[in-house]
Amino acid sequence: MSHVVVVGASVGGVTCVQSLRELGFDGDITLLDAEYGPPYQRPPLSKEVLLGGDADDADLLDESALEAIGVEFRPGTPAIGLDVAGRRVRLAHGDLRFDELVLATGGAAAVPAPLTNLIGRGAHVLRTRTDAIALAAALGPDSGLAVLGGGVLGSEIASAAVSRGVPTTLLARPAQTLGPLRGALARPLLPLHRSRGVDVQTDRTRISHGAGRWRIDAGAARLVADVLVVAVGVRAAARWLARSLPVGPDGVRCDWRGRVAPGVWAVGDIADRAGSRHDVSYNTQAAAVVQAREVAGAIAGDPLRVPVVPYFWSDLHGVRVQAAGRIPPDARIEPLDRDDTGAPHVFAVVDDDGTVVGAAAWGSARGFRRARTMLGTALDQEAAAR
Amino acid sequence: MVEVVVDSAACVGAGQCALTAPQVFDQDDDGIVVLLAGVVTDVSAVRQAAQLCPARAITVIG
Repeated sequence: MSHVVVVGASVGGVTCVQSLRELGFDGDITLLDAEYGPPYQRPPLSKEVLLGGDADDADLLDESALEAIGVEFRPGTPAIGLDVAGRRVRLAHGDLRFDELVLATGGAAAVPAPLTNLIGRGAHVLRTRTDAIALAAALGPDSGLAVLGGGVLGSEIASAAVSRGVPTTLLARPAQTLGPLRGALARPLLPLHRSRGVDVQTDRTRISHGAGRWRIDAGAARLVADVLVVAVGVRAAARWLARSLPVGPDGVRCDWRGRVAPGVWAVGDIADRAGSRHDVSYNTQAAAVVQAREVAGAIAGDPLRVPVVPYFWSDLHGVRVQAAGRIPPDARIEPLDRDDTGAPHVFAVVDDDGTVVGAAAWGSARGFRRARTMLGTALDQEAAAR
Repeated sequence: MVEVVVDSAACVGAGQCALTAPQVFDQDDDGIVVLLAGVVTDVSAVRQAAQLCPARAITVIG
């Protein structure tokens, strides 16, 4: 009997075990997770949960649903090592043998060395459900919040906080990026934050802590905050694999199907997958879900047969930001539509050959769908100018 | 025959379901999923749509 071990009850891990069963895989399945409690997804943590919603809303399914499909779920069981040739995962108490292993441990909040002392003094990070509950509890209208990092996570935290009436400062870089969006595609970001009352500072900052508060020097501005969140990125949680597999700064290197080595696969943020770097979904839940389905299909012998368009989304101040397809570094950005203020907010991403390879929109579902239908076609200059 | 349930509050407007199983899923003007048929016979396409939904907003029962 074949045994599949999935490490990480992330959205990738859970999608993988569910898909395996739906595709008819009838061997044993073990799902390991370092955390306790039912599996959950991360996107709601920086949205609904910070807005004061129930943290259970982030749950993917309850443990009985895993039992019902014959998956042995072992929460509180981190994998600590791997013997690829011997096909064994090392646990705190003994080894677990596998025929196929799926790595789905995701990432951890990146805290560069100069910032680690901030965490020691009580700064928050936001990656796990526990982190989100702690941060949600710390937010209130009487305590000022400073968010270090203006990417997707920092921007979503700032958005949720101001909507709860929390005085919020966002410490961001002047050249904005929002996930895969950069340059002209990210230009709506800072004006949006400022229009909703976020104090955005883009000067170089110095942060110190004293008397229970954070003191922030940002250029000429002198600020004080009660709560500080460090949201400067995510690193692949792959150190435990470094002695067993090819691990780089972006995770475990795998081929375009997610295969790392014979019997070993990787999905989601831990996977440094060939050819995916410029997909708008790179290192997002959307990619983890699709990769999990692909790997389940490869293991079960039933590959995915439908085309998948890479997708990215974020929700900021009630504005849905969407992107689809790919954004190569040298692509041309063509505005397709403008908002009420005249600023471009729907875009086509065009490659060297004049083919539309990506689409993006800020707060325009209709514009986004129109741009997305252009994917794979030559850019219609008349349509672009409209 | 299986039953399909969508959580339109959780839908993030990716539109992957409408690409995967266009007989069953569509999108409204806001890009949010619209269920065209609650009970379906092409189970494989619907299951793939549920598996590929980036917001995990589709449940297939049965």
